[in-house]
Amino acid sequence: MSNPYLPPEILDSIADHLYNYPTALKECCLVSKSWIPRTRKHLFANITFHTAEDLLRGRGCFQIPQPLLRISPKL
Amino acid sequence: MFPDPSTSPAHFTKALIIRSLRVVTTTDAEEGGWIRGFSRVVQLEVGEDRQTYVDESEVSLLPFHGLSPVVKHLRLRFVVLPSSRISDLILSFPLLEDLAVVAEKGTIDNGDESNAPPTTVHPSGPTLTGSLQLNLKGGMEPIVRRLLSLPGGINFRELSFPWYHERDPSMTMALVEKCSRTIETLDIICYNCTSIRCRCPLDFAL
Repeated sequence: MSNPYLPPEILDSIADHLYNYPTALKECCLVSKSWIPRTRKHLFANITFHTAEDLLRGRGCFQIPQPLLRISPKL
Repeated sequence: MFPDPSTSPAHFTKALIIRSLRVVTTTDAEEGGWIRGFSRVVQLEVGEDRQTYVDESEVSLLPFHGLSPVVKHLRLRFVVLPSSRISDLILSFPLLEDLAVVAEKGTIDNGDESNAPPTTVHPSGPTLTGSLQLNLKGGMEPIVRRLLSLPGGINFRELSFPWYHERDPSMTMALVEKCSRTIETLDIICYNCTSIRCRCPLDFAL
């Protein structure tokens, strides 16, 4: 039995409807890799660093790895 | 750390708010620095909640210059505003429409720089066609002088200010004159009198 296929537009629409429900979006990330970009679009649309500690803790996540820059300098 | 920048959270961020500017360094904005990932931010708010600086250079806006070419809304929020170099920050966002500047106590201003043109010359400044909100308890003058000297001019449709300082009315007049072709709404809260609200062109007399 083949896996059911849903057009990507429908998947996008589902994620878009859940934009205000972070818990649901996080659960959607677990469906498959294809869901990750469409859920991250909403999960990370707004990022706030309230305190210096938040920033010092979180900024490592956003650094672009140096080896990748050497492979793809256009990045 | 996300090995592929296109899957990094920063790649999806449209609104970035940083309330502790003092821990951001110029290294953060260099190649590979974490700030460089936020290249698609449309709404940017930066500020510092700390109340005292040894000098203005302690809090630098430089790492945010040109953060994202698509920034349209910029909000600067400080307890004490380091006013110099704000012009350069504004000029680094070519699509900037809305600007809000809040200083809860006052402004640190370098008198020499306040009357000087921006240190960095940008060929095309932003059009600044949206709203301008200034809430500056130390007075509007240092910021207004910088706005009036922007090379591309200002074309705000909405102006909103509380008046705290005796020079604020004259600064408001200068801004209104500069935006006279585009202004639609002017909101003023004068703490020593009643609120004034003008919606152009119905009533434009102050």
